[in-house]
Amino acid sequence: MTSHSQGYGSASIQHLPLSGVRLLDLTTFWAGPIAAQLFADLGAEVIKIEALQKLDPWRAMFAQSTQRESPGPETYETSATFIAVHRNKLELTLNLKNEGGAQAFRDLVGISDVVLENYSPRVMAQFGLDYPKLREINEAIVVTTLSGFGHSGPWRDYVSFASVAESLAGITDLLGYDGDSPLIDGSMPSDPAGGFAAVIGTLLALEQVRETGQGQHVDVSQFEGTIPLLADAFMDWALLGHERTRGTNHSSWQAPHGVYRAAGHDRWISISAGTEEEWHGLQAAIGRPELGQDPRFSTLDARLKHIEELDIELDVWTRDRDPDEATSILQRHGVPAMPVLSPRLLLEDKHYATRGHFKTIDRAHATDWPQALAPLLIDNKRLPLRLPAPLLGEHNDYVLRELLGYDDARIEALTADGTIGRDPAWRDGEHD
Amino acid sequence: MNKPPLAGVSVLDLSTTVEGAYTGKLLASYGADVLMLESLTGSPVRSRPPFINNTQESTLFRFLGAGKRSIALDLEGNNAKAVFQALAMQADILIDTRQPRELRTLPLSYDALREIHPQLVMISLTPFGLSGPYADYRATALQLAAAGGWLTHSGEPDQPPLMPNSETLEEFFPGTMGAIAALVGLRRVRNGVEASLIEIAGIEVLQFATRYYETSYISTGNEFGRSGNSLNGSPTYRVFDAEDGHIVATASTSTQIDMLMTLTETDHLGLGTREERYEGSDALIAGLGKWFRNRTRKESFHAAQSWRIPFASVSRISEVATLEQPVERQSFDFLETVSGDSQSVPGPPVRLRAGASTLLPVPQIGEHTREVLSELKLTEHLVETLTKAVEQ
Repeated sequence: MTSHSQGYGSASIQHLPLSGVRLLDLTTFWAGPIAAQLFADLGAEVIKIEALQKLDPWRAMFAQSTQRESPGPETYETSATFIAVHRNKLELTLNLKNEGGAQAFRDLVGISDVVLENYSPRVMAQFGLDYPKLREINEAIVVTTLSGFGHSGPWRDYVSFASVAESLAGITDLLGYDGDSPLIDGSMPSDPAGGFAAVIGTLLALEQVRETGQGQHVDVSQFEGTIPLLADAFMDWALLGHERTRGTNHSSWQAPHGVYRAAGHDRWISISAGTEEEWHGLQAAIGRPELGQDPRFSTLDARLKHIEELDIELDVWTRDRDPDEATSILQRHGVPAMPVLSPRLLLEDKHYATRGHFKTIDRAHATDWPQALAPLLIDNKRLPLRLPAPLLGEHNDYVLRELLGYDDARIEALTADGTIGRDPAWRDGEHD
Repeated sequence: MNKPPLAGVSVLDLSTTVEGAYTGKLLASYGADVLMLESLTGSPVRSRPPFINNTQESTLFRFLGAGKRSIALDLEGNNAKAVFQALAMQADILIDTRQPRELRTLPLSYDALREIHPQLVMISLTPFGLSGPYADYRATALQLAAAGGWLTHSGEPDQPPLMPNSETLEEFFPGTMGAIAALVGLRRVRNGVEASLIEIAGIEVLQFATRYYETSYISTGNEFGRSGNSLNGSPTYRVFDAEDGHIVATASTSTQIDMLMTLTETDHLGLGTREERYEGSDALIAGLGKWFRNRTRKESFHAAQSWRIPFASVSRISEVATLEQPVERQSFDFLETVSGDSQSVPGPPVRLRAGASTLLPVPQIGEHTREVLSELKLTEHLVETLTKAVEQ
């Protein structure tokens, strides 16, 4: 470990598990920033680094009063999705293309534990800042790269968004209505899958630093991080030669297993019964004990075969019923059921509220916006929302003066050529 | 650097759910010694359908149980407390998946465990957490997806919300967070901080992982309903038919869209700006569709990617392990089947060392009971009694 045990606002993070770890976060969009965010929430000092000349494109996502493709002058601080994934981080602007910027980065590597980046594989090498170079500065540095397909193989330079990894890994083929074409998975699970794989790889590498004093390059592929999530489908293929594909919400081993219309505009309830006990509970819950005697439904095999007829029976019960009320009746009878929560319903949900999953923190453009906390409670305590998402370059002074000991002259020189600053350097005409 | 990163770490895996079993599986993949503590009839994870033909062996458990050891005990028997205590004492990490209503079946409470073993990292992994109005609700992957905010975004707007036909897709997210918690907890203990119970609620993991829509809703008031076969109706981010299946184009920036239109010879449509493409989206979709329909998935995939357009073929499950990238990078592990052939099975989400491995065997129920008990400092008489119970 490097010797720094104090961090920005250190008093408030000392008790957190990753306090004392410093991570340089060069990532953009969602997959990388969510990985860095877990480190920040867990107490690491995370320094997000952006170039004034090329801001994180995620700043444009749902930015206020605009449908721009890239962040414009008046909107780059207003994206709710950007703000959500950057709290508890510090922000440094640095143009790595300038020698002064690259040198400041190298100086930071000397006093840090982790570099996390999600550039295409060749970019850091072009900056002269790839793992072999950084290792010369700090042999304990862990460099975690999160790319679409990893740093080797024929697809290493291919471009990946969430749906790309999902399609290639098999998720898309598993999503759709019976007999119809595949659909886009709107929840885009491969982004956090890649991010969480990066967290695991980095934590394991830090364990090895503790043992050996040596860092390493952790080569995370979003595609590879997504593949294990489909273990059930891959194991069925490997051991049974049975290939899963899409089929509405039907399961090969649970019946019923579906999403049913409920009372209210676009309200739905999910219901599943995989065991006999749950099937009996379901009959009792909907007041239809005779369904158990019906030869179409009396065994699991029969129910799987007559699943569409069973769905109709359930639909009769759910369609005019309030989904929350229906859920509580089913759950009282031991049947897995939950309403489908839209963003609004989820934010208003009493369970999330009771557990304190959302908190607000003052931040320009984002006052009163609920922020989801990390999903880990340590000894019954939430991981704190210590700092709001930083403004562009907000911690330049802290990082350059306090951490690196740069003097006024040096900072002025870096400011003069646009290596650092607080205002984006918009290229002419870019945001017309 | 030859030792696996978690060599020497001892995990007591009490999981009765796939979520918890995956936490143990991940830790085992990275070298931890994972001991499943099962009831005499075996962990319910062993009963997860479907089963290997003509057996009661779960296909998924063949993956989740690989490389673990097993001790089987009557947890409500007379000696349960003493043995459980001894097992917990030699563990670094304990994984438990009991919901509040089931906690009384734990021979020693979390508080009692903390008393006797202050360095033990305890992971509680449940669908809804240990508190709150739904804490004792039952959930399968489908309910995690419903309440975690995933279902509402997939499917056609006028039809039911959908989940992909894989339960592990949802279950492995909380399982992954369990492994993260274990690593973080270990670090905390090694930094000299005592005892922690790290509580994870499955639905909160799913929500945290994919909360783009909740965050956009708070600022825009737009809930973005089900995405159907495109992202918010985008003509260039959608599923298309190919000659031999389907492809997904995900061109999003102006540059990517321009490239896509040039590649597919749809640039003559004159849809140069975002507004024009929106207005003329039917024509653009038709033009793109025609180009893709007459080509194989592979042709379009490599053509688009060579232009740096984010683009994918839609793989069928049977194809993924045979794609050139996972073959070259050895992304999959291997399994020798009973009939002697080799099958591909998923590898870990990230490898610290390159190279595939062979999936280790799964233990029989209680296979290591005698071996484990004799490692503990128990009387010989007690070991005999407990071992007999398993053998019966």
